[in-house]
Amino acid sequence: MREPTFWILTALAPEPRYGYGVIQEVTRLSEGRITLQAGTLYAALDRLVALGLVEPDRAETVDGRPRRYYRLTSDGATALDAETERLRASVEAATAQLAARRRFGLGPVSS
Amino acid sequence: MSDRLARRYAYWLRFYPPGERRAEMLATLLECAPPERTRPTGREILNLIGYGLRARLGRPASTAVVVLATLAALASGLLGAAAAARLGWEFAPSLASTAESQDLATTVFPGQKVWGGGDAEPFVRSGDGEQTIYGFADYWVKHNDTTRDVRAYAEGARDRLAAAGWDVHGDVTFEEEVASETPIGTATFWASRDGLVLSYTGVLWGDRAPWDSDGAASFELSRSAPVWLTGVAVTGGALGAFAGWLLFGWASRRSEGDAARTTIAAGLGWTAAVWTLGSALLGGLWNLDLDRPADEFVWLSLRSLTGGAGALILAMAVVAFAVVRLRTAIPAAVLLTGVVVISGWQSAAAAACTPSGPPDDSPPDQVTLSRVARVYIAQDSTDEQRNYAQAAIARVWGTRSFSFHYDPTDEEYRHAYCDGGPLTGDSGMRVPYFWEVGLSSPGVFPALEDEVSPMPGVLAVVHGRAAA
Repeated sequence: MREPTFWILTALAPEPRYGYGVIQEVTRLSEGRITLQAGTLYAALDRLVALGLVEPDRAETVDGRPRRYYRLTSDGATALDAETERLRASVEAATAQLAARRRFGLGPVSS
Repeated sequence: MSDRLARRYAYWLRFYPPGERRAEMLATLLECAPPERTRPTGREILNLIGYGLRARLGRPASTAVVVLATLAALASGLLGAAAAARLGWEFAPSLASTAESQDLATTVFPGQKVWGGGDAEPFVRSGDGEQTIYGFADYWVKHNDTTRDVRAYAEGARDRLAAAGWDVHGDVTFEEEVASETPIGTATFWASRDGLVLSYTGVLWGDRAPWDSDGAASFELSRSAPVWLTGVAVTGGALGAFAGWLLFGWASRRSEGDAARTTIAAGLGWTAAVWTLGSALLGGLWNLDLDRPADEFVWLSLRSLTGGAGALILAMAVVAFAVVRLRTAIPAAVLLTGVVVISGWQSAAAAACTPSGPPDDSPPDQVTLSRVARVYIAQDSTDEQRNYAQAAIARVWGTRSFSFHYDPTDEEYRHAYCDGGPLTGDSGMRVPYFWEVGLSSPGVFPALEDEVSPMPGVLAVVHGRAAA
């Protein structure tokens, strides 16, 4: 799973959001590391909709401009869960290796 | 201010297929933009172009569609470049005027009577008929005491060309076969300047019969592609690739969710694209010759895509579109059929005729690029007269081939007398015999006429339209 995909699924996990809402939420969750471009966001959303991980929710019009909300499907939640497990396992493996390095006193490692 | 920004975003959003998505994205883009922004950033523009073109293809989860679209765009780009190049060659400067403006004949052969010259088609078959090469014009001087020393004369010509600003490539190569029954001395070199390539050959054949030629000092002048033609071809290629991408995208979106149509259309698309790339590659490689100008290979690749191969590929593409949506493909199919019919069956309708003698000269504009000539000789000419006439034909430096025809059922009679149509009744029995003569380049004709028409028994020397 590519990083923008991961963050979009994460942003949609608790509630449906529309385009700009997803971009804002991803920026907030990633602590400013990820700023999605509109093109990237909608290409990912289209792909996720085609894969059945995300589906269109309600549509509304605000200030004369259309807003379409997207929500996570249960398949999407499963996929995000699996990806999270995978990342957790990776993080744990790397953490253990770094701890070993610290024990052997091999160069600086924070905390 | 926001209106102007909205208009600018809307402009770049046209890379996306028409639909609600454009408005949805416009709203998102405007919400993302900080208040002081008046125009999209470069990064935003690239992002919209890239993902917009991707969105044109539909099928957002498919990677295969991107691969095939890239292949299709590459192929349609090549076809676009080929079409543009074909058109562009029509406006390439004529070989004759270029050579004239440089006083080339005088530079190479000062104070001599120079034969040949003239114009040529952009591409012609090479001497052995195996390859296609840039069209060329043959220039030569009949031997005299100065030119018979082929080596010294070639070196003089080389120095004169170098002094006139030509790039001379390598030294004069001299080869001698003294042991042979007719000793041969050959001196060659080549030079180039301003898109022209000059290939010099001086030959002296010793111990020849008095009625045969003992060689000549000569050069072949060929034209390479003018610089602007590259721009024309690149532009055509870019337009072709873009159009190909959009059409492919339309077909892909249109057939999305229909497995049968997708399979057939994609199969045809693959075949057409691979065929295009293969034809271009083979067309170029077949004619690749490391001793020739390097750019010739590229133009020959493109050239191999016009004509029959191109029509076949386009037909395949039209069928693929017809599978997606029959109604859309009909105008394209009609147009393509029309073009093929007009270019293919033009000559099929030649009318029958009843000749009574050699044909009149063709209008000059119809034969300036023809490399076919015919020498007509009276039926009651003697064997000796025919031998002398034939020796005269062979004596002309630029004669490549000749064949004698006396049987009115020969296919060549139709072209010699009736523009390709049949001869009525037994009219063919009474008209003069003739030689069909192949010329190395169209400008050779005046030399043939000068050499052969005074021969006894010869009735006419005619520059003919080439047999199709």
